[in-house]
Amino acid sequence: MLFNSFSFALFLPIVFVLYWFVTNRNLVHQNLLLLVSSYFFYACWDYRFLFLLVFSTLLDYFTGLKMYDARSEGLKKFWFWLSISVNLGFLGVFKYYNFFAESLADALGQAGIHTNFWTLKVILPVGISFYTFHGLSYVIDIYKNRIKPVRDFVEYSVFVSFFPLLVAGPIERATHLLPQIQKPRHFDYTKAVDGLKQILWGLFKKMVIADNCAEYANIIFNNSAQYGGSTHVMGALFFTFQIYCDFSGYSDIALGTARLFGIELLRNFAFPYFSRDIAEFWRRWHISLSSWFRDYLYIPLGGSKGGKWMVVRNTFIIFLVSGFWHGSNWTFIAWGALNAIYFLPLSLMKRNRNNLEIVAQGSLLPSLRDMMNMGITFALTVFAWIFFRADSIRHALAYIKVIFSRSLFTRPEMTPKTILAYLAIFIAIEWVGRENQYAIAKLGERLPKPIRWVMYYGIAIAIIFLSGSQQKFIYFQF
Amino acid sequence: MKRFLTNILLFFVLPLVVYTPVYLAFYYYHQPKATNPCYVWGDSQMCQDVDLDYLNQNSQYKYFSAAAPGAGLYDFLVFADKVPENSTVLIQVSRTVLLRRKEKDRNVSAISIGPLATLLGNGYTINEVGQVVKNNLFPKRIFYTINYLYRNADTISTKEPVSTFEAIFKTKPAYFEDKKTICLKGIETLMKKHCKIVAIQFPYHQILNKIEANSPYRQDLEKFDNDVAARFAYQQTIEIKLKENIFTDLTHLNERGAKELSRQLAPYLDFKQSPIIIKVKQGE
Repeated sequence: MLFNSFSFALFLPIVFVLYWFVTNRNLVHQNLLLLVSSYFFYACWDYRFLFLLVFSTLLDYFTGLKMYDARSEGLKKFWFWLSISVNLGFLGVFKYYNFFAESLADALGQAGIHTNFWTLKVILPVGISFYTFHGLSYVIDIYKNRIKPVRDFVEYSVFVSFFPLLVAGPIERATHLLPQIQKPRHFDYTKAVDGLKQILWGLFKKMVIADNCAEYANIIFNNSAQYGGSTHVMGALFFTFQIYCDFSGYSDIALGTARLFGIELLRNFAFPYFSRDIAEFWRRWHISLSSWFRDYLYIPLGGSKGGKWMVVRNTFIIFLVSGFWHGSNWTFIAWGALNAIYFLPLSLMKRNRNNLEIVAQGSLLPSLRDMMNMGITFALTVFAWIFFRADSIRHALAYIKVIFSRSLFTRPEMTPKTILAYLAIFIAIEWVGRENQYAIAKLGERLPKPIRWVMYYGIAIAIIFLSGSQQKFIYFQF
Repeated sequence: MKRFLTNILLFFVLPLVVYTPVYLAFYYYHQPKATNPCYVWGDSQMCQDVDLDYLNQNSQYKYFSAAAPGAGLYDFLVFADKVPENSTVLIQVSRTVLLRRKEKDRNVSAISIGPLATLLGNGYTINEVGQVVKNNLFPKRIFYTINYLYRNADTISTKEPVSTFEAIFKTKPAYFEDKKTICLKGIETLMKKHCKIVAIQFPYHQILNKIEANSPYRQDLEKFDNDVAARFAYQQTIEIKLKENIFTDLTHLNERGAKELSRQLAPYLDFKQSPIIIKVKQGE
């Protein structure tokens, strides 16, 4: 069930009504409803993989309890490593086994040893990377004595499988989400309206911007040999906006939906394309994943403490793992490595925390220096996305080679003026709303209600009539 | 909560209240107006294979066509639902409609609850039905009276490669039976409304006839023909025997073929034999 599907448009109001009108007097019933709805939501995609989700939930729930109750450090360690290895084992088998088998076969083949490894013929269970990371953070936090385990299985299950974040995040932390699940929730008009607005904006980003950009990005990337350098740049630009609006649109819908149920999820995007350096970009892009890796990988590895060698090593590890998290393809690893290369000079010069505030705070326009920095950061990001989108490293390199050819200075074969106009409007709205949680959070706040409603109708009409052909959310594959 | 629900309700009801009369007025205004109308439905074959001008001049009816390239079965259901009782209709019975992927169907004939429910009850998902609703939110003119004939040529030009058709006829689509049921329901609706019906099955080029003959699910296609034919009191065959090429591509006649077909079809459009199904073939 996709967020931008008609079935979700039916599903959401039904759950909402049951939640606030039928089960509202009893927290246990409310949580049970959320759990059943979440499992139904997941089963709509593929009910066969529901067992995997339930198994993963049971595993982390019990290992959490066992670790807490363990009488010795050794026993605690045993349960901890059992959970970690089974969780990562599932992820490894479903997501990475074929990659490793094929890569090894290729490597051996080049050495003259021809092997034929057995490969899995199974699709990747949707959301596995997300719910596995939920579980891992919970288990690690218990192991590190940061939190106590949850005794109520339903509460823990809702934490792992709450439907707005189940298939593509944000990756929640037990410390943030669990307390909200454990305490009674009361309907808040302002929050609910805010949630609806964020859903509306998320749908606009996904259906009008991402899906329209996707059509051109797909044509250009899938037939790149036919086009010149300038068209390749267009293709990379379209993909840059596709992936941002696809994923941040999804996150907006998830956050807005959760808010309708009185639950606040972690913010996942904070206008990353207005960043002035790569470090700022990574503080604003897929925040829940970046902070997860920071807290559970980078800092335990030593972070930026220690010598320069340590900083280089840790930076590369975190970016390579982050790239690999996205999928089992060398292109993602290259994308991660490229971002590490971008990030490293800032980190070594201790300039990675220079731009902590949003750009041009309180002003309408940025300074010339900010504008230049934003332009450079954006260009670097667009360049890196080529690796993310390409089918293989060879494809990415061939694509880049054409960009740096004479054909860069020719007229692009494709200039969809309508899409470019949508993008211009979208960037303007995002710029104006960049100091808020999402771009339209305070749009027309001081205007009379009828005018505000006209604005919302405008966005809704754009979603209905200007949307591109429906594309799956990119992050579903991760 | 009360305030929230009131606002939500208002937000959704307000545009409905404003838009619905405009929407309905549009379709009312564009209703065919003639003393002796004959309503036509079909997909691109009906558009291109029949010369409406010829029929207008050689029969007592004024022809209003709702035929459109890629027309889907929702279009047919709405057509059957909306034509007045006892009216005269010329419809196409098409195998290609059953084989075409659901998302490729045009399905733009205004929002109509009955036909939407029929889709939902016959294998269409909520999302597919929702997509049909979305296609129809903006009203579009349905009936037209002008000709769309293809130019004559000595050879056919295939926009779609032959391999595409081979692939289509290789595997029976999962939705074939659902679409068949819907098609039969549309015909039955017209019959219940006591319409005078002339139904046509247009010819395919011999290349496509061969592909179809070798199809693994040829029997299902024949069964569809038989099930349709069983609902008609009369059955006829028209043979187009011309020395020149009569096709534009594998599925459409050119102007020459369309004019010859229309000439032979006109006598049946007095509707004395109704309901009748006419199978059109290319003569040897």
